[in-house]
Order: sequence, then C-alpha cells, then structure tokens
Amino acid sequence: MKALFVVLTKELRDNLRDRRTLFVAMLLPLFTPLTLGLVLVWNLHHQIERYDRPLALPVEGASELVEKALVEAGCVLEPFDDGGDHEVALRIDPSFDEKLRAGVPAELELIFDSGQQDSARAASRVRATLEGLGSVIGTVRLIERGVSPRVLTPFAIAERDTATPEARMAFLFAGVPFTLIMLAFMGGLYVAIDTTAGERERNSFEALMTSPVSRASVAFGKLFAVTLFAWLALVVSAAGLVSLPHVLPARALDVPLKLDPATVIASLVLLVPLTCLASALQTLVAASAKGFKEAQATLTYVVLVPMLPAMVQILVQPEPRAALMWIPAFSEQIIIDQWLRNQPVPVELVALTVVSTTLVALLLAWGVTRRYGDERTFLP
Amino acid sequence: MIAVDRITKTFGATCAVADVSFVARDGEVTGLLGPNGAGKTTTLRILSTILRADGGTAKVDGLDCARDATAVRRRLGVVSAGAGLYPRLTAREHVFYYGRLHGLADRVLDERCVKLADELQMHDIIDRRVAGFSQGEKLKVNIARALVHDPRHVLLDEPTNGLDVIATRAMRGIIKSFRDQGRCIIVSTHVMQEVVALCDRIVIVAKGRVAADGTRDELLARTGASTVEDAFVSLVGEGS
Repeated sequence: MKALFVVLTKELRDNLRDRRTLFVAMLLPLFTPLTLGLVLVWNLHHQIERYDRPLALPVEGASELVEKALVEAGCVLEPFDDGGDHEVALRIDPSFDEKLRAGVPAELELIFDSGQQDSARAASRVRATLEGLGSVIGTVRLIERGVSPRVLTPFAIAERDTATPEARMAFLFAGVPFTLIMLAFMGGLYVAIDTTAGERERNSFEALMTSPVSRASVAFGKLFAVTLFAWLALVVSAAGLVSLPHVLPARALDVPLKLDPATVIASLVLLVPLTCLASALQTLVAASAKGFKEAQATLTYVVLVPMLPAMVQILVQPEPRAALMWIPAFSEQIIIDQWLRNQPVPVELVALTVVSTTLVALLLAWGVTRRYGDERTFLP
Repeated sequence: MIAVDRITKTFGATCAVADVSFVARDGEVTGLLGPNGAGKTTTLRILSTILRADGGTAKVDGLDCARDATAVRRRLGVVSAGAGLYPRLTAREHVFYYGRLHGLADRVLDERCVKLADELQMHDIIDRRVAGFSQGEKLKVNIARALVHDPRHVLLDEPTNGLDVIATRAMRGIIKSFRDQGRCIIVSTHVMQEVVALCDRIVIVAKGRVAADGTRDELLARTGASTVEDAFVSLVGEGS
C-alpha cells in the first residue's frame, strides 16, 4: 500500500512537470465552459436582436395607421433611400389609405434579402406587426357589418407543449455532458502513455521492477495517477461551468440549463467510475505498445470509442431506461443530460450505471495487473 | 554469494540462454564476458528477477530468484548502462524514489543522498533535472539509485558503455571499492580490457552457454594463450 503511494506521488510530480499533460488536464477542460459561455451570450444577443432592439426602417409613401403601428412595435422610421444599407424597407402604395377606406385590398411591399439572416429576421418582425394590424382592421370591419369575427375562425387549434421550459433548449446544451465524457477519456491520456509506454521507451521500467514492491502496487499507483489527472480535467471543467453564472450577464443564464453547484458536483461524482474505466483502458492499451508514438496512435482510436454512443445520445436523446444504462459512458451521458435539463433520474438507474461502469473498470484494472505480471511488459 | 545452476531461457523460437552455470563469490568481481547476444543480459535479468528462467535455478545468498523475488531484490543493486531515467526529475528525486520503494524513511534518505553524492562526486548535479545530463552523469544517477538501499551485492550490465576514459576509470574505482567492502559483484561486458582490469574471475559465455570459467591465469593456462583476448578467441571461436 505504501509502495502504491510512492509510485502515485512520483507519477503526479513527474507528470505535473510535463507541459503536454498540463495542457490536456488544465487548459483543454476550459473549452467546455468557454464554448457554453459563448453560446449563452450569443443566445442573449440573439434575443435582444429579435425583440428589443429598435429597428431602423426606411419607409416610402405614407399611412398614419401603418406608421403608428410600426413605431409602437419599436421601429424607427426613416425616409426611404434606395442606396441605403438597410436590413428591411417598406414601400406603401401611394393610394394605400384610399384603398383601405374603400375596403379594397391595399398594397404594402416589404423589401429584404432572405439570404441574409439579419435581414430575414427583421422582415419577419415587421411582417408580424403588419399582419397584427391587418387582423385588427379585418375584425373591426366584420363587426361594423354586424358579422361576428368568429366566422373567420371555423376551428381553433389548442397547443399544449409538454416539454418543460428546461427541455426546450436542451438540444443546444447536449454538448455539455458529451464534452465531460470526452474529458474523462482525454484528461489522463498522456499520463497513461508516459507511465507505461513512455517508461518502456525510456528503458526505466526494468530498474523500477528490480525494486522490492509488488507489481500490483506499481500498476495501481500508475492507474490512480492517470485517474487523478482525468478527474482533475473534469474538476477544472466543472469549476468553469459553475462559475459561468458569476461571469456572464444575468439575462444570459435565463435559459433552461441547470448549472448549480449541486448538479455539477453530482455529475463529477457520477463520472468517478468512468474516469477509472478510461484510465484502466488506456493504461492497458499503452502497456501493450512498444513506445510513446505507437501508444499515442492506438489510443487516438480508443478515445473515439465512447464518441459513437455519445453521438447517438445527442441525436436520439433517449430517455433513461434499464436497457441502456449498463453501457458505460453512454449511460453517464444520458443521466447528466437529464440532470442538466432539471429532470430527475430514478435512483435505481443511477445505481445500475455506477455498478456497471465500476465492474467494467475493475475488469480492465485486472487486465492491467495481469499485463504487469507479464515479463515482456518491462523489456525494451 | 550468487549461484546460477543450469538456467535456460527462450523467447519464442530464440534461445537466449541454453545452459549457464557459475558461482560468484563475495569479495570478488566476477566478469561475464561474451560477444553481443551471448546471453549475458538475459542471465542478469533472471538474477535481478525481471525474467523467470524456464529451467534451472538462480540463487542469491541461497534465496531463489523466482520464489523469493522480493527478498532477492532487497539484496541486489542493479546497474545497467542502458537503463533510462526520468528526464523531468532531479538526481536527488531519483534517489528518493527508489529509496522510498525500498521502504527507507526520508530522514535516512537525506543521509544516503549526501553519502552517495560524496562517493560518486555528484554534488554539483544532485538537484538538477536529468534531462540533458551527459552519459557519465546519467550513469552516476543510475548507480546512486541502484545503491540507495546499500545492497549486499551488485549486478552491473555493460557499466562503462558510452563512458569516456576518465569516467571509465572512475567507474572501475567504484566497482573495486564495492569489492573491498566484501560485496559480490557481477559485471557483464564484451570489453576485454574491462575484464583484465577488474575481474577476479571470468565466466566466458557464448551462444547461451558457459564456454569457460576461472581466474585469468587459469584461463591462460588452459588455452596456452598469452593474453585474455587470445584465450577468449580460442574458447569462443573466431566465428562468434
């Protein structure tokens, strides 16, 4: 046990001095909170753009009624200028008011560029205002003629959206659990290579194995070092996520994403068995490689393994159920996704995930100790 | 005392050690002399418990290298010129790492570090990271980590490989001091001068077998040769 600790502290000290390891463990994890922060700020900006921002609107022709409605909807009317660079412009038929009074269809022309998002968005905002005005005028006319406006509504469609407010934008945030899973597999990658394939390439394995400690102590000391680095990456990422509410403008977080410390910490704890699994898998693969480069090449593919179910999760967004929860990485991703959407996950499904992942991790760890019992592992 | 009795070791289709037996006594330097690929390193790896022999026994002070591996490791210091170090650790950290693995307390290791740095003249490099060390400096760290637990016996694999003349002489001085301390020393080498300058007994190994075993004079007498080199060639054959 003491030997395990000696190996562990040496590997931590050694790898903390490695720039590559530090980059993966300390900087890469910030990618998730940074990207999410950008998405949230963009989302806020987008909303302000859509509903709140005064919209400059060049108008040709005149109609008091139309102009009043547009000004109330936040448009700033400007004289029409053909050469002007505007998102949207409005041309009012010179005889608009006359036609309106006569009850014949009057014409309004909306000029915009559907190829440009900003332009299309501004146009739809103006159109919504004008359609609202049109429908008011129509209703008034019907009433004037003694007809109930209801005749124009033969049936009503009632909509009931069953998604909780949190769930609606969840697709946007499906990337958060995904990147956490990836970090569990990336965080300790270089440490796994350095402590096994690297040790072999440097020819230092032999000397280590002539010390009077059990091979299992050495194996587990190294395994725990890899796990700690993977978990460090997750903690850095989680700290970034939790600090987002303190960094971003308050309105940016008015979104259906639960980023409170309790949820994030629960996710970190849930990922502990998965980091063990990832570390054992990587150590096992790296221990079978001849050198650093071979291990790096092979492990690149190993990192891809959890990506496939992860993609399925993002696209299909399956509900948590027992049939799925025994699949490591996949199940953790589903659970964290649900938690972030503020949807409870049954305790027995969480338990199934933890037990299943732990069992696979133990199986792989057993594989590592077997590998360390094989004399070929240490020879250059 | 180290005793090797009819050990064999094969890797796949390659027979690295076919039949090697010898005895290395305390207070003597025993040289394993042989061409490249003769089986010297494999023999040393079996003694240092890295490899298990397929057949035969290797014993250190009567302890079996296969069955009492941990006890054997406590008694042995293993120096291999080819052994690597951790580039991001300092020389002192290397000594501490191996010392701790041997169960030594940090207080003891502080003293050991001073003593080893004195003996190996490495005070100037003890707190530098080993990345960028010269061959000689690396070998000093290698020896220091192998001797940190004050082992009863020392195995050295090609200890002067890549060393310049001054460092080689220093290395020989170190090995002789081990002998004078009553330890049992086994040096594997393919360098003839090494054997002549150092070894009390010579075990000539070729193609995985012991070709001859004895003191320098005994080998010369047996072959009628005038130099160890001639004796070696007549025992091993030109073709080896």
